[in-house]
Amino acid sequence: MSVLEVKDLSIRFGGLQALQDLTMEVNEYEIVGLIGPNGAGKTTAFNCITGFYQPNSGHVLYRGKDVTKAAPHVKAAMGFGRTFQNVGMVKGATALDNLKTAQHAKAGYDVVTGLIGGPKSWQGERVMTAKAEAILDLLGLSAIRDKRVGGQSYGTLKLLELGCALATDPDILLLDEPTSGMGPDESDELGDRLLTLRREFGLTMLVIEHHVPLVLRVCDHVYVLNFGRMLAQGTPSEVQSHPEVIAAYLGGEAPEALAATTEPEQDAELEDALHGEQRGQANRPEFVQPPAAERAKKKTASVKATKATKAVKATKATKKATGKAAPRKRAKGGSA
Amino acid sequence: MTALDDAPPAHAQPPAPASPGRWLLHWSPRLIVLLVIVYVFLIRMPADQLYAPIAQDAAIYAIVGLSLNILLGYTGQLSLGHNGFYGIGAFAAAYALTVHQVPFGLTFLVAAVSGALFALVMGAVALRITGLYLALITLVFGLTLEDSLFQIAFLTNEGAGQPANRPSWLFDETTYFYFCLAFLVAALILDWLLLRSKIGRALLALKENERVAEAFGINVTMYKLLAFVISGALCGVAGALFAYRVGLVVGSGFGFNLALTFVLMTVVGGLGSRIGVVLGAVLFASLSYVLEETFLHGVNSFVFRFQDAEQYIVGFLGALGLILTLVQYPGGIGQQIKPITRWLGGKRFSLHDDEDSGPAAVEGSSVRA
Repeated sequence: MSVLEVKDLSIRFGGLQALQDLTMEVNEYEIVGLIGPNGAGKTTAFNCITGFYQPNSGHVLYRGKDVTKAAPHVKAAMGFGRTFQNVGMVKGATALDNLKTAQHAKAGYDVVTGLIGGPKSWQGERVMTAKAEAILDLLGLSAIRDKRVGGQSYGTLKLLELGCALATDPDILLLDEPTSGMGPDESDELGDRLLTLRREFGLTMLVIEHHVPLVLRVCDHVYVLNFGRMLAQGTPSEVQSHPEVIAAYLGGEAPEALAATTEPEQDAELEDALHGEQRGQANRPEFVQPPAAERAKKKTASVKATKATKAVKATKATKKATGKAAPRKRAKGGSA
Repeated sequence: MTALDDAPPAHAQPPAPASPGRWLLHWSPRLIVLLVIVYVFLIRMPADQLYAPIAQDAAIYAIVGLSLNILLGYTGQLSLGHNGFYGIGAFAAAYALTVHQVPFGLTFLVAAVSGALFALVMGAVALRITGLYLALITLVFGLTLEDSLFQIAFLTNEGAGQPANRPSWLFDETTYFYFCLAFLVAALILDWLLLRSKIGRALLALKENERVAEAFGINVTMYKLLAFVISGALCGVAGALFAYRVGLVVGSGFGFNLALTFVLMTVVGGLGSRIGVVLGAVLFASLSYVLEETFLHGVNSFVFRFQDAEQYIVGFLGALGLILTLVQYPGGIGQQIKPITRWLGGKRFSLHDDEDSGPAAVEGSSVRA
């Protein structure tokens, strides 16, 4: 059964149709990418899924249960861990306190016990501190344990925010542009980290990301949004060569861009209709069980290698295309 | 997340200095300073029947300051209506004791519950309104209570004032000061427990960013209301203490000036700083008396006579303190005495902040309405 299912989600802000009949599916142990140009509605989709916005119509299903109307804090307790586009943390508090705040729903004692004090609350605090320290250790951030979060660099903040999302003990992790503000090396490192996290904690992830190499490397499936509508979906390589996706990113029909791609033209939707069933089976087996981690590691290594070469190709292709078609047509798109 | 639970804690505290001689050298000056402070302010001065009522006022104000600090310092909700909770606590205790013969100890519970109930109403409003409008609403709340509830005949004993006589074992002013002090200590412990538990962290989180708090699984609505309820209950208890301090509760004693004093002393004392808030309360509770003494026996006698000068000066100093706090020291007195409190806590004496940590570190923005 899929962990997260979004059905015909629509939301309108005044005259702007921010999302129109969005339908997505995230399966167990999958990293799903959500990409699209600026203003496509990616973050709006996140906000609808996590309960910050109430969609005008449509449903959000979590493990088969309709949770469309649930409040954000309820969903957080349920297992939706999320990060924000611009860092979402308590800037006045220390790194440790942030990680403990994030464990709020799993504190293990109620409000009255917390007010009166007592062994149960002390025990809860000890467990939370230990877990927070373990997360700091895992992310290599132990040095800023007692430092206020406000003064840290942006990359550190993004990483710590990921830690906070982990501390909520999520079942599905929703990451909103985890690499924004990071250099290429840091982004690469983050890719490794995401794969490690999935392997170690059996996490399912939905990731909004602009950094194409990362998407190609970590995502099992990609959805492309444009103007609030689903433009395409498929494996990263399918989506990458999808003509409409290229057009949406670069503007217009982009025939030069099409010509520039070395891979044959493919219709991802058709592809999906053909292999939709297979996607559930063929694509995942190596990740399904954590015990198979060793095997998975080898495979990911090889996959990494092939994907990396593909990524290089891809960036080259897009670069070529950008050079030719982008500036003029993007400007047009912006004014429209 | 079992892999995380098993991992050993990464940070162990470094061991304390070893030799007993060093230990003594390290702690004895701090201990002496602490003992002197305790002796002068908590033993010597309250022993004087003249000073004891001022000390009582200081302790009661300090409880109100802590109550307001929970709302303003931790949760970021401004209340200009704390005079209302204070008055409700005073009237509820006096009414329960005198009219219904409720046992003395239980009247504090009555005061706490009535304060909490009214705070709950105000909290419900605060869920919908923020910032300046919330300040105005709370202001109106306090003013309305003063003009309506505190004028009701049966509550005010037909306008003559509701008597609140403390039991015979508390007649002595010094004893009553220690009684108030016990409540203050209880309030401090409650505040400490609150801040170090998940409740405190939730309040600090929702003060800074409600969306982030929600993403962390914090029920923002519930915790905002909880902050109001705790604050109202504490303020109600302080009101009851005040009722027994004066012995007769009159409706006109809980005007807007009182609410303003409460907010001023909390902000000047230092939002989010426990010691700062207490010191701010002590300052504002004793200021008018100190000034009165100065002007009666000092300046007035040989320079020229001000009529009721201390009244103006209190307001003036309060405003000056607020401006200084807002512009120069957002952390108030609590921030300014940081070197001393750090030293008393066993660290080296240094004037600048080397560690900007601490759960309730205050930023300039938190003072906004």
